[in-house]
Amino acid sequence: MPEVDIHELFERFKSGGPLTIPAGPDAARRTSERRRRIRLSAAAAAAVVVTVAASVVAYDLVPRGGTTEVTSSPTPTGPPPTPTVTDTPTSSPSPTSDGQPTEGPAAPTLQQSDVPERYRYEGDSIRGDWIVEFAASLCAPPHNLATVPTPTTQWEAAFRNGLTAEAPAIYQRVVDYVGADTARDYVDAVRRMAQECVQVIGEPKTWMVMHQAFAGDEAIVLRWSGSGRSTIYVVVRVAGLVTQIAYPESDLIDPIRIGQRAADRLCTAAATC
Amino acid sequence: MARQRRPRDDDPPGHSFDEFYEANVQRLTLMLYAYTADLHLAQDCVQEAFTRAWPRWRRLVEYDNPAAWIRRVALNIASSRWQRMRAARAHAHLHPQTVVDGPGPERVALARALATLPERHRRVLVLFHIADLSIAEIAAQEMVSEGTVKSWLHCGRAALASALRHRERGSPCLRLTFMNCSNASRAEVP
Repeated sequence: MPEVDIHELFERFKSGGPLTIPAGPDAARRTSERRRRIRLSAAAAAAVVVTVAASVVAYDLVPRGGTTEVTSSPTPTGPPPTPTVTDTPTSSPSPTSDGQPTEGPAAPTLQQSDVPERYRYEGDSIRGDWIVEFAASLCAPPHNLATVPTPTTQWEAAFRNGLTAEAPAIYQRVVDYVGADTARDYVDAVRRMAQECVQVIGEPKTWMVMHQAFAGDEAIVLRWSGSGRSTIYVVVRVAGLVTQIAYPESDLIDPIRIGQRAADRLCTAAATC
Repeated sequence: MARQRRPRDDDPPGHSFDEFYEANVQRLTLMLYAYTADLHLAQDCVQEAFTRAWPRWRRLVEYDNPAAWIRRVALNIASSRWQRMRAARAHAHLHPQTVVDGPGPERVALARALATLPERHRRVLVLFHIADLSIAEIAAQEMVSEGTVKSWLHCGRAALASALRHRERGSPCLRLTFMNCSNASRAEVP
């Protein structure tokens, strides 16, 4: 090839026949609908578990066999308890009598008692584009947070205020970067993105840093807003663990409080506090 | 080929999802193939982008340029490892058993040569030559000056020509050209 004519090459590249037979719009719709059904099923299953378990708790508290004595409550101290079932999401290891988890690390995600009562635990696997990485990718230039070293382990938790997939939700992801330096780099990248990002794809949205340094080793509250909707992202780091929590601003959840609760959970898991 | 579907009641008026899909899928697949040099990956990324577009369709159709949204989403999926894996899991079973001719040798050579380029050079080449965006549009999308886009295009073309020449001779890409251009463009970008 004596001299490469790039324009000509690309023209020929474009002018050839179709590369393949696309799967079609119906396939895209089906996959999308399947994902939606999975979310709804998870929500419904969680509701059934809550209902059944609550019934069991209620049955245990009903006096039987003519006795009027009610069995003692296991934890009389502390604030008024919420129903037992809602205190223990299914993904958490059950504690032994000395309070230590039976196996593996303690789930470092938020627990039911950490979120407003109207929210119910929905599951530990969240599909969708809720994470800050996706929002960041809509910036110009895209801030590719995914290029920050890949975390070794991650946990997720979803809590929903209602049973439909459209109901407001609190989504959380915790990732373990192993090293605090790597985790710090990630938080720095998020902070930088929030300061620099101008979203040009889709509806215009802006980022705002609302609060910083209120929990854990580092903490930021970000607001992603536009077109009448705002999402709050709470990012907290404790040692090599970083969590991001997202929820609609319209649901009036205190980001400082939930960030501090998240930091406490990370502390327990990281055992560095 | 996917069967044709009647417009649905929930399709925004005048812009059905099917029309949008048919109007964009081939060009998008071509662009993603040039970007990734992997036909199946390109298919998966494109299909995943449309899958994400569907639940947002009523809002998306009101955007000035829905095609820009889906192009950006598909490129972002392709450039993220875990998103690529997720797309493959979701859509690999949809690959047709009987394919059309597939990319010919010339297309394969160009895609493989593009794969040797730095990501930003490859990206602007693909956006300019395949998506047919103007310099100004690329500059706005990538949030850099038009001069930077021109510089990346210049360097990308030089590196691409070098890669193609050396591929034809059976030797690896000449790294010197590539390095010089990388240094020059890095100085321009904050």
